[in-house]
Amino acid sequence: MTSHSTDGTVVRMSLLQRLDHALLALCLLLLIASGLALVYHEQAWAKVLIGIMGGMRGRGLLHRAAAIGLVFAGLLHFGGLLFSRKYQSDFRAVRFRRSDFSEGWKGWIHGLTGKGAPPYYGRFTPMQKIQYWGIFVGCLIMAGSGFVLWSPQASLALFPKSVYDLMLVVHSEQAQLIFVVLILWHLYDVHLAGGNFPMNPAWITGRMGGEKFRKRHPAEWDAMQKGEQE
Amino acid sequence: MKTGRTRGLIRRPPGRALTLCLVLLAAFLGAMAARAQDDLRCLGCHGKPGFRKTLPSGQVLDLFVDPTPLRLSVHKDLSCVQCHADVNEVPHTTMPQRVNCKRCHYEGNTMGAPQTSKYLEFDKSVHNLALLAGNTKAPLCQDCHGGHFILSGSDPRSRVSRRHVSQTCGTCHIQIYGQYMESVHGKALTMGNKDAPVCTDCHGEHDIQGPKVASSSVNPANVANTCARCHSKIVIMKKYGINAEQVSTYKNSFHGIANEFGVLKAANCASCHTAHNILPPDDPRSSVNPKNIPKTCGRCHPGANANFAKGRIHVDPEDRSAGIVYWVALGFKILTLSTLAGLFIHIGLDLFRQVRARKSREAVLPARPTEENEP
Repeated sequence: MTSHSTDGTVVRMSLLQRLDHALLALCLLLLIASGLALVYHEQAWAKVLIGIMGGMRGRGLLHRAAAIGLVFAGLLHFGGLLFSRKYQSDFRAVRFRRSDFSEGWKGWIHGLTGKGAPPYYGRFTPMQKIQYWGIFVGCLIMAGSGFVLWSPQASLALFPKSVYDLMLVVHSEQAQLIFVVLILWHLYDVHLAGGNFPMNPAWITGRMGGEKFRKRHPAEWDAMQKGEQE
Repeated sequence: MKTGRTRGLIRRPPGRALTLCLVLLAAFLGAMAARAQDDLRCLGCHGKPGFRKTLPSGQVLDLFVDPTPLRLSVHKDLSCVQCHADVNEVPHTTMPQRVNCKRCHYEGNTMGAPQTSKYLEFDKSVHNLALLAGNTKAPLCQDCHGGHFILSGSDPRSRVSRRHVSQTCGTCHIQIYGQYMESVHGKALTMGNKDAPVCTDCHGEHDIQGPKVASSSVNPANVANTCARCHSKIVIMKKYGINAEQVSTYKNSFHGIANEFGVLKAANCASCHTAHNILPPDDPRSSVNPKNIPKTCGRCHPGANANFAKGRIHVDPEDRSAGIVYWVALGFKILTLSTLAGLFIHIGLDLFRQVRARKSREAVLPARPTEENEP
């Protein structure tokens, strides 16, 4: 549900969503920093990071603490989906539709050649949907594989070592994919690109300028206008 | 007719050079005779087989010396008292001390001993520290190099040659020597394999330090690098069908990374393979035989079960032999790189769109606001 405000801005994120987003962002940053430092342990920056975290023990504790935080952010998300109308409405809107492909294609052509109609995006652009589902699935995989890796003794009591090795490679490779999708792509797409530098304040204020919204999400804008007229 | 030169030779008394030669020869012969005299005095007692002395403690010292080995050694030209310098009367009124090799063996000596600073390395070794702490069993130079039959280390007959040095160490370290000789390394040495590591390859020579010393080659922090001297060399490992990636797979494992960052309780090569009793994994006695892996892992991971042995231990996700781990890693790499490529295309398109929008604004609507994004 996206609604107009009296000052012409559009409510984009509820308070719970912003808290959830902030917790997710903090935990993922800590997880990525403490995790990739392990994967790239031979690099000078990784040695500095591990030193800052208090060595291997501190790094391990931080990684596990952030993992618990991530699970909590996930539980908050599922709780929202069960009990919050804003979450439920956004969840319906973030599902892929056939129009995402056609509008996405239009967006590419329009971006590349300047010809044809601009894309008629709804509440979420196809790019944002990919990012959401990428992180959604990615976090489930990370949490699942992470818990197997948490304690080798407990895991190997249940699974053969080959499963542990598989989880290890899934965990470290998926982390790098999440780094690309989230830290690089999402940060660029949402917070840096198109005049948003240094960041889009919506993740703090929850609001977005009406004019910006109309241009970027015309389908949702039109639906809102229609709803208000009715 | 005689030339002046011929005449000169006839007339002149023997030349100075000849005199000098004769004097030197006489001195040499004199010295030899003196040395022989000295040595004879010594051998008067020590040359008798069965010459021995019983100490007040009851210990019997065999004091017989066969002069032949000394005459075949690198010290063949030295007399007894040149090394046993504290002996100056016969019979001895005081108990002769052990020989101090440092009288000649120091860098800058004029006695003809090899010029090297190696001698100083002994000072900080575990053996010298034990000596200083009062351990009378701690070895001096002669305990390893031999007393009278000292040969160059490159001489295969030497006690410190590659072939014999382990046996020499084993004189004191009997139990470890037994384990080593049973190990894959010891057996290779017995077969005359020149690649086989001997004690000094891992522990060092004069500068041997205890495993608790941070700079020791067998300190837990350094063990992997010590093993890597051979085990990361493809040329050597290929001969024995051993994967030279074992070192890098260890270094990239949790154990290796923890060890690198100072967690010394994390497993190193010796924790699993043992230090001296290293056996190939197909040997049922080996600590890394699948049947023994639960016990080996269980030393650090209490309750380790057979699952620890189900799968490869040294896994290299970049090698096809890793099976599904390799393919999953490869799939993820392709996905991550494609996403990265998608991101670059996205950024490129974005910039392209902005440049074009600016141009068209400048041409038609100079005051039009910038298009922006949002979450």
